[in-house]
Amino acid sequence: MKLFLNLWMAASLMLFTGNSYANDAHKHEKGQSNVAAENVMYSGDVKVHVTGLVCDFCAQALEKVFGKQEAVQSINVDLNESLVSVTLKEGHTMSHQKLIQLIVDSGYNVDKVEASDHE
Amino acid sequence: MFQKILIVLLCAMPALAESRPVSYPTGWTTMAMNDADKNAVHVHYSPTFKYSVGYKGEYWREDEWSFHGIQVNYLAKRWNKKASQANVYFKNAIGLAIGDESQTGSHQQLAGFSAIAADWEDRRLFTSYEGRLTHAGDLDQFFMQKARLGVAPYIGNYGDLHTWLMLQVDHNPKSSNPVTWTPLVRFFKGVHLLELGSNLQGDALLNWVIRF
Repeated sequence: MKLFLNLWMAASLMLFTGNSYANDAHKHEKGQSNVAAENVMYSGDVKVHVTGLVCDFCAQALEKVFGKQEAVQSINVDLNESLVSVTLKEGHTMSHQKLIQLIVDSGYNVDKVEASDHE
Repeated sequence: MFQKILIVLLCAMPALAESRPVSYPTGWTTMAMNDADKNAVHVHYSPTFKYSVGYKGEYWREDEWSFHGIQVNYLAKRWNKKASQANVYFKNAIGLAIGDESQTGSHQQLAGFSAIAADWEDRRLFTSYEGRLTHAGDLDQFFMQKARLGVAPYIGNYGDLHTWLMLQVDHNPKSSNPVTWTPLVRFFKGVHLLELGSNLQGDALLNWVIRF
């Protein structure tokens, strides 16, 4: 019983003293960016290097979350490279903030973003 | 009656493992778990990746009582690294414990459990721990723990068949075998996760998870 309570308290302390998950993700991503990322709009193909991708359930989460976006034509997840490749529909764009938020909402973090077309 | 319904569910829906008790936003997960101590089903819905809520049913064979209730799983913390992930979850359930009629006379008790679970994995190694405190009135009360260590003999990409070799240790002071060791094999492909094993006393383990 004591062991259980101790573990419970330790976990609670970690939860309440740590930064929020979303904030951690955003800070990490910003640290990797060379541009004023919040203002960037992506089109065409976007490659996102994601942290925490370790299994098929992770990949499915990203597919489901991105698949619900009207702007997304297709998504491919490469576990070996921890790489998520998103193709946006012609004439559609996605903001940098939206892209990051979708990754975070799926439960993962962004390491860096590479895009052929952005403005 | 409840036990019959549970048995039907278990037959229709093979056992599941409780790895990843929270899914992606709007995701459903069905789990069935069968081991030396119990048969269990858990069906949950995740509004966000932080928590899930759903039905939990269990039948504890040795003490012959069943549990039916609502379980809430909460992802308290996740650490995402370039090649690994670690999680801490809280799991809480509340519902009714129903004694086996032939043993205790059919009676119901307010019951519930509270658990903390943690895991760390990369694509080669897996380790996890769970401690659970269960209270079922005068039917049963216990604290049990389990831990796992696993290794993937090969690393596949998304969509491949993933295989894990694992060793699970369970500690349940109330069980006839308080400490059991269970070697098992996990197969993981697409939305399905299947675990097959047997403890050193010969009791089978069969877990199945499907996510949709």
